[in-house]
Amino acid sequence: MKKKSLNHFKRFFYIGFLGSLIEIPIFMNAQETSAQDTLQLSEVEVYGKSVNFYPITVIPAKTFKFEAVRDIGDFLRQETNVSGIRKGGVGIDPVVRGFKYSQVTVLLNSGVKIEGGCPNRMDPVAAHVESENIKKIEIIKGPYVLKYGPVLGALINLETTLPHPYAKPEIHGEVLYGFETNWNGQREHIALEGGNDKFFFNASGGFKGYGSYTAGNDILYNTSFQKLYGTAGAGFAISKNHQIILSYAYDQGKNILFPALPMDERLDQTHVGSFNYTGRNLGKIWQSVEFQGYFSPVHHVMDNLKRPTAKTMQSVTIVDAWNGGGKLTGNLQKGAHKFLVGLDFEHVYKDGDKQMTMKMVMEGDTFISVKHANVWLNANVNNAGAFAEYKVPFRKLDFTAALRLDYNQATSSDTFRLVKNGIAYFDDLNSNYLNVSFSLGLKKQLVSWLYLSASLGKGTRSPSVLERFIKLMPVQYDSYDYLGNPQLKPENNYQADASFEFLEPDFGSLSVGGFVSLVTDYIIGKIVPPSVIKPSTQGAPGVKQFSNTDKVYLTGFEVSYQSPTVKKWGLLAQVAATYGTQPEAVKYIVSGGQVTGEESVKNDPLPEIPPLEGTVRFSYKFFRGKLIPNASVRMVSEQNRISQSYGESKTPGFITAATSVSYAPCRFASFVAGVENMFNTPYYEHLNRRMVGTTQRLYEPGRVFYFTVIFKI
Amino acid sequence: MAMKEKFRFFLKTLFLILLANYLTGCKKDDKTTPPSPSGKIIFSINHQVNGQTLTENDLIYTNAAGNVYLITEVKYFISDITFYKNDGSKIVIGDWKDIFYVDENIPETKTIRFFDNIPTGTYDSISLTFGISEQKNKSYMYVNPPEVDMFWPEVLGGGYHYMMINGKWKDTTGVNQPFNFHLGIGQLYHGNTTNVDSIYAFVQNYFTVHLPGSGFTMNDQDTLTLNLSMNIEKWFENPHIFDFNYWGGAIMQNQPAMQMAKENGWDVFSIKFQPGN
Repeated sequence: MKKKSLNHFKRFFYIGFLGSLIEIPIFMNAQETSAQDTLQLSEVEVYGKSVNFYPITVIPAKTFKFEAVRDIGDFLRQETNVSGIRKGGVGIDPVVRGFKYSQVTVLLNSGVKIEGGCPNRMDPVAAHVESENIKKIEIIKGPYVLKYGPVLGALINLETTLPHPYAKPEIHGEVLYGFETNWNGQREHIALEGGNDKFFFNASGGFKGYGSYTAGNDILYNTSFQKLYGTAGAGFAISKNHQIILSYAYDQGKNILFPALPMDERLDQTHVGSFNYTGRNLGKIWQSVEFQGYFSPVHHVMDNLKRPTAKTMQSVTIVDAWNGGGKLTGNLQKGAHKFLVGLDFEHVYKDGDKQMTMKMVMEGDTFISVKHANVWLNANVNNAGAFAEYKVPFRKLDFTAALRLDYNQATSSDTFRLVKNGIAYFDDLNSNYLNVSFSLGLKKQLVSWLYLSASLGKGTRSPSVLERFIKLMPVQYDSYDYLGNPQLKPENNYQADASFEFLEPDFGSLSVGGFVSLVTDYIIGKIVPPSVIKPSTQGAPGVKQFSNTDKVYLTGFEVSYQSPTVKKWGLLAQVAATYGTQPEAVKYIVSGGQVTGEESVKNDPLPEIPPLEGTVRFSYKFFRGKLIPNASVRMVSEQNRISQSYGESKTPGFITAATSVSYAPCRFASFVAGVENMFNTPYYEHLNRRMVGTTQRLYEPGRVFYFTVIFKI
Repeated sequence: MAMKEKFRFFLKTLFLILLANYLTGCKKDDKTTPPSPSGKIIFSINHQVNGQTLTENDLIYTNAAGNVYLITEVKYFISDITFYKNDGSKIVIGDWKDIFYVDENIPETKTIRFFDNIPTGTYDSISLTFGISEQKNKSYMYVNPPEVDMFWPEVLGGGYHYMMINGKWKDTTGVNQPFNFHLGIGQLYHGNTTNVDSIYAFVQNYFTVHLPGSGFTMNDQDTLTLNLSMNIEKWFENPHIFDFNYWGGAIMQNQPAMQMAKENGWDVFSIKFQPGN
């Protein structure tokens, strides 16, 4: 009997702890928890089975705190079917299951959005937040969770550290110092938090300074960067069930070099202010109400002044981008029926200017010409949404349905027009769309150790400000200048996911899942002939305009195994791949360096799809977990499925290894030392951009030794 | 209806609605129309002096004014290449590119493979614009070499040089002097100065060249190669004798000299069809 109870406990412990690592129930958030649940605990372990029907990965801070994380996008590449587009040392743009850029919604604290200022995506959303301030990362694959805004392919939610109440007055502090060889990187972080049950606060600040890294091919890449950041927050418990939190974060990037882009980031300043109100236990049916308002302006300056191209033409681009909005959410429950309803609004504004200075010496005279061109001119996008989720246990399974309506409106003050031969490439600047998204999901426990999850959804997203209004900047994988398309139609993703999870306390967890996706009105760049428009960026071979293509297909799978966490040894093995196909594409025929014709390509692979990859991580707990050595091997296959129409090139496969040791002698101090790319392998990811002016890819860093020290009270 | 049945009915209805949404979201493939019969044209460009292929950096040429000269560079733009059909219609090249850069020192620029499909039929003649029209010649439209190096300063009218023929001539004292025989947007100055502050008007110096003997017949799937020759000596002789000793080596701020060059340019090109076409 005792043994049975122990097994029972082990099983619940196992499932719960795994749940805390991998899956958190969809309604398990602040909206549903009671006031007491928000008290800070030193370690939270969730017991019970997951009720999520969609693929979700939850990464708690403890997973990445001890790693040499310079950039969140860089770290996320460790996750299954998550890749990133590298252009420099930081600012790696996440790609999830082949969905990228605006197809992946990245937000903070379940609702705060940031509009990056850079047209080249030097500063994707995750680049405005530092990993040291993050409490938890959620990656939700598919268009299934609709309460955070329009989602097409995936959603990444970065939960930052916000102030929270304490049962009795407390104050805590944390200091972190990390150092890395190769690019001589240092990161310093200090954080303070405390309060009581009425008033609570937090504050943090830090600095990161990295030099350029040397890759495994012994080439030094100009990738240095400096980051400076600070946060402050205050919370008030107005009464037992009513709480407000005010928070502010500043993040600054300075002299961030991007060898795979035509310019470097000289300065990027981000302010994020938010206001959160939560009311709980409001009635028999109304469980909670939550309001969140935010404003996040970004000021971005980039130039080519330290590049060889500046000798003939100097370019400086300054962009101001704002994102502001709010969300009102209510949770209702009647019996077993749970409802979540809400409204949200998002306003995006972008304005930017590119100054080009050309210096020419002709016949003994020096002539300087200066030209100003707007990258965006008072470009505005408004999106108002209404959403609802319904959840009920039904015939021994959990059933969830969600619906979302979005009204999207865009305009710009552009004076630029491009109409040629009767074709309006860039003319009518106003567009309005009503989008419908929905999802359905089921989760069923087939037998005590086997779960089936199935989900079906349609996600629709309106084109971004960049896709609508950008004017001649190289904003994508290739080096073409891109032209926006104010009349782009929204993209629709019809997706289905299915997965089986095998859970056995002594065996561990094995998850096998796959997805199929049909994307209609897929947004992709199409070449515009030079007789219509010519590029304005040095090195750009031509101009592409964002256009809707009829349809594309994506499909893929993810398999992962996690050993039982109660055991001393730990093993995580995962393998994943995505395949994308464009049924109809146009390939241009090049002869003698000239485009001489075009031909249709059937079933062309979609560009920028990462290849098959697998990871194995092994660890062992000594001294009751105080000393834990880790080792991991990542194997990435070559990518031969390349897009002919896009002019992609093949990428060789590679294997890298890493190892680390963490030591936590007491709860006040932790030490980690490790080595990344242990064998100094020269390699680059399929999504890494080409070096400007060459056909060579930007390589990943070579061997890096690092250590991190954390003291906390 | 019992609660369970209602709920079941609700689910079935919802499923049917969503299924209909899926099906209507998938568009059928458009039918494609077969291409109309057409062929391709290639321009093979060469530069000649007195009927012989140009030899650069060799002081072996003499123009009509008696100047002994050598050529170091020949580069220029041609644009708006037009094929006139015998039914009165015309085809203006521009489906892909409409302005073509030619450089004696960059061999690939001397073979122009037109993207445009030329419909079958009989064509009377071909014309081209030497240089770039005012409508198209905009500053900063080229940012990459080699075209960017043809930049024409904004204060002198902007846009790009139509042509640069660079070289040297032996002056009256026997000294080799550099010349920059450049064509572009001209300027009109107040008084006798060439100070940019005294510019009061600009002159578009591009011009249309009608190629003599350029009629041809295009058959379906044919590729015709036309040899286009620039006869450099003609820039200096017809109808005006251009004398370097009189005009000097630099003419880009000298509209009368550029006007003379422009008027001499009408017959610098000749065309021949390659055998086998």
